[in-house]
Amino acid sequence: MPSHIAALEIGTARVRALVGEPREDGLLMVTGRGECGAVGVRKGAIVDFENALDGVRRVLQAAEEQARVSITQVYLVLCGADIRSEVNRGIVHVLNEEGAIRAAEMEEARKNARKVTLPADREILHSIAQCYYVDAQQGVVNPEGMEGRQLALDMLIAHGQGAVLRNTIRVARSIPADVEDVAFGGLCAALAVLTPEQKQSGVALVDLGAGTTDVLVYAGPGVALAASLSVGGDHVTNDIALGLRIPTAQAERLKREHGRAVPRPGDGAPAIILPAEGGFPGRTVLRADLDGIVHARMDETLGLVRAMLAEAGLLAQIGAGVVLTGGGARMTGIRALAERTFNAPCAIGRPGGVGGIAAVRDAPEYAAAVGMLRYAAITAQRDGGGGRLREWLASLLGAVRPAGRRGDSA
Amino acid sequence: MSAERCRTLLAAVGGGGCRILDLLEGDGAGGPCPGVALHTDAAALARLRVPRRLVMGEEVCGGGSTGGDPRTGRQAAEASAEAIRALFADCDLAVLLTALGGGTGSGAAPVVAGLAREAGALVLGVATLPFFFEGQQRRRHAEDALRRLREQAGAVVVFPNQRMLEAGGEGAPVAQSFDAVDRAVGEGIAALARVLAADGIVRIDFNDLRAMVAGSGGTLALATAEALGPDRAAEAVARLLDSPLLEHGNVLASARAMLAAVVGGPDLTLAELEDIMTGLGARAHPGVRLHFGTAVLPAFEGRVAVTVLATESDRPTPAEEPAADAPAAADPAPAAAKGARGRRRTEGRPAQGLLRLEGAGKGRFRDVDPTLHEGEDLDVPTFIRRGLRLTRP
Repeated sequence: MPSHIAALEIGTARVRALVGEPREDGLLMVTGRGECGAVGVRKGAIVDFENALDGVRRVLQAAEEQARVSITQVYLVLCGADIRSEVNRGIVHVLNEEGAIRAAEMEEARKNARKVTLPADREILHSIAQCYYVDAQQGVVNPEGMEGRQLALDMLIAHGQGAVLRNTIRVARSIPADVEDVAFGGLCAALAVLTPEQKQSGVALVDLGAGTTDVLVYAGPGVALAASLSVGGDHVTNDIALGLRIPTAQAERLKREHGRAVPRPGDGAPAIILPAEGGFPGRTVLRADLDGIVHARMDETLGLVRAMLAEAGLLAQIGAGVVLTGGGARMTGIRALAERTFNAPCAIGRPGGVGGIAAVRDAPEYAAAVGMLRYAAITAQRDGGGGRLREWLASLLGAVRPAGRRGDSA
Repeated sequence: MSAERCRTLLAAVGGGGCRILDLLEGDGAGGPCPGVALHTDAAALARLRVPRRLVMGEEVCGGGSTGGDPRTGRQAAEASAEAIRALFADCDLAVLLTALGGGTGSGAAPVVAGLAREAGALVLGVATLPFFFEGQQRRRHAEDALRRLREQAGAVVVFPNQRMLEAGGEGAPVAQSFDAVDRAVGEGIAALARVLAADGIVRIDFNDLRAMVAGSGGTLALATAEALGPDRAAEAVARLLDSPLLEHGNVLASARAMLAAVVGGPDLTLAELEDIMTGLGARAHPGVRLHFGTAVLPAFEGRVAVTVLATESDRPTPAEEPAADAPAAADPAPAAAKGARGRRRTEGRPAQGLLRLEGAGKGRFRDVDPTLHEGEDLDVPTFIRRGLRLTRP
C-alpha cells in the first residue's frame, strides 16, 4: 500500500479530496487538498453524472498537485442514500467437543448476524460488531476460549439505497480511480472528531451537511445507530429563497452571514440590506423573517434527529452529549439550539490530530474527509495493507475490477 | 385532541357542490356529518334539502347568481366573511365541496377555505373540474381556482373529468356523466366521514388525516367501493383497484401515503380485513406510509366498503408519460380537427400534468424525490408547514 491515502467526498454542496499520510505517532499529515462547489448532487445523490464527474476530476487533480503524488486509489465517503441501521443478533450453538468457543464459532456468529432481510433496493454498507453474549452472560467483548453452549453476537447493520450508493461509486470509478473502500460519512466524521472518552460515555454525532444530516451514535457496547436524513443546509437556503423570494445565491449568502438557529429579537439591526448584483435588483429583508425561517428548519431537523434517538431508546444513553460537525455546525446559535433540543451538552466537532494543511484542521466541514483518512489507515492496518475491496462492493459492482490489481490484495 | 372525535363540517360552495351535498343529505338520515350549503343564489339554496344554508354576499349579487364570473363569487364570499368564519368555529376538519369552473365555486371556494383555515380548521378541498365540452373559459376558471384553493387548503382531492368519463362510459349521455361525478364524489366523502366519525376498532383519527394532508404535496385521490356476499372482501378490493378514480390502481402504485378504511357490519371477520389489506398492499408502493382504520356499523350488515385516500404522485404515471402527449403537443391542429372525442383524449392528460406542477412550493427540490417523513414532505419549507406568518407580504 502506498504511504499516502486519498479520501474523496462527493457532497451536495462541495466535492472534497484529501491526500494524507498516517504517521507512526497517530498524527495524520494532510499533504494535499482539492475542493470545489458541487454541481449535479441533490440531497447526497448524484443527479447529473457528467457534472459530478467533472468536479471530482478537478479536486483530485488539485490534491495531486499539492501533495505531489498520483492518485490511483480513493477511499470514498458515502452520505445520503437514506442510510438507516438496525441491530441484528446472530446465534450459534457451540457443538464442538470441548464446548469452548473458537474462532470458527465467532466467524459463524458474525455470518449469522449479517444475515438481515432487506428490501431489494437496499444494500448493506457497514456491519459493525457490538458485543457477544455467552449463554446468559452479556457484554462479552472477546469470547474466544470461553466455555458455553450458545454464542450470540449483536451487530449493527447500516444499509442504504443501492442505486444511490452505486452511482456515487460509479462516478469515482469513472475518473478512473480504484475505489479502495467506502464508508458512511457519519462514521467517518465520528472517527475524526470524537474522543475515546466521548465514545465510552455515549455520544451522538450529528454531521450537518448541505444535502443530508448524518447521525452516528455511540452508546453501550459500541456504535448503536447510523442514519442519514435527507435534509440539510440546502433546505435552509431553499426555505429562505422561497420565503423571502430572493435568488438561491443571495439566500445562501444570507444564511451564511446572518443565519441564526435561535432568534434573538433586538440583537442586531432589524433589517438586512441585500445589495444589487447581476440580475438581482437588491432588497431589504427583515431580520425577524430570516430568523423565523432558519429557526423553523433547524429546530425541525434537530427535532427529527432527536426523535430518531428517542425511537431507538438512546436519548438517555448519550452521557457525553451531542457533537455537531459539517458546514451547518458553523451557524450561529446552533449549539444552543442543540443543547435545548437534546437537553444535553453540545460541542462543535473539529478534526483533531491533524498536521499539514492548516485549513483542514479545526474545520468542521472537513470532518468526514479527515475521518475517511483515519478509517483508511485503520482498515489498512487491520487487513495487513494492500488493496481491499469488500465482498459487497464487489457484488455491487460486478467483476469489473482489473484482474492485475485484484491479485495485489490476495 | 387525537383521542377526541374529529369534528367535521362539510361545506358545499356553489351550485355543483350544493348539488352533491344535497345528494348526500337525501341519501340517509341527514348525511354522514353536519353539512352547510353556501351559495350566492338564494333561490337555488331554497330548493335544497340541506337544512343549514348561507346566502353569500347578498349586497353583491342580490341573492342571484354570479353570472359565471369568479370575481363576483370572490367578492360575495368576502362580503360575508364574518358569517362564513363563524360557521367554522369549533370545527377540526372542514371538507370543502365545490365544483370548479363556474362563478361561485371558483371564486368563493378559495376564500371560504382561507376563512376556515383562519378559524383553526384543517381544510380538505374536494373539487370537481369541468368536462372539456364545457368550454375553455370554464376550464381556465377552474384551473385558476384550483391553484388558489390549493394555496388556502391543506390539500385538495381532485376528481378530474377524464377519469370520470371513464366511470360513466365514453358513450354516456351528458346528464348521466354529471350524475356519475356527483355520485362518486358523494360516495367518497360519505365513506371518509363515516370512518372519521365512527368509533372504529382500529381508528383513523384526525392526526392521521392531518399527516396525510401535510405530506400530500397538495393533491389527493379518493375512491370507495362496496361489495356484498361471501366474496365481498376480494370483490370490494377488485372494484376499488379497477376504479378510474385511482387510474385502475396506478395511483396506489405511486402513492407515498395512503389512508385505507374498511367499514363493515357486525359480521366483518378478521380474515376479510386481512384479505383486503393484503389485496391493497400488493398494489401499493413498497415504501407507502399507510394509515389503516376499520369501523363496524350495524347498517353495513352483510356488506363491506373499502375507501382509499391516497397522495398523488408528482411524477407522471406511465399512462401520462410524454409519449402519450407527444402527438398532441407536436401537432395540435389535427388533434383539434378530430373533433370533440379526439380533443378530449389528447388534451385530457396535459391538463392534469399542468395541475400537478403547481403543487410545488418546493423550489430547488421540485424535481427530485421528495423526502417524506411520517407523511410530511420535508422539502416543503418548514415555515410553511408550521404555518409561520412572515411580515413580508
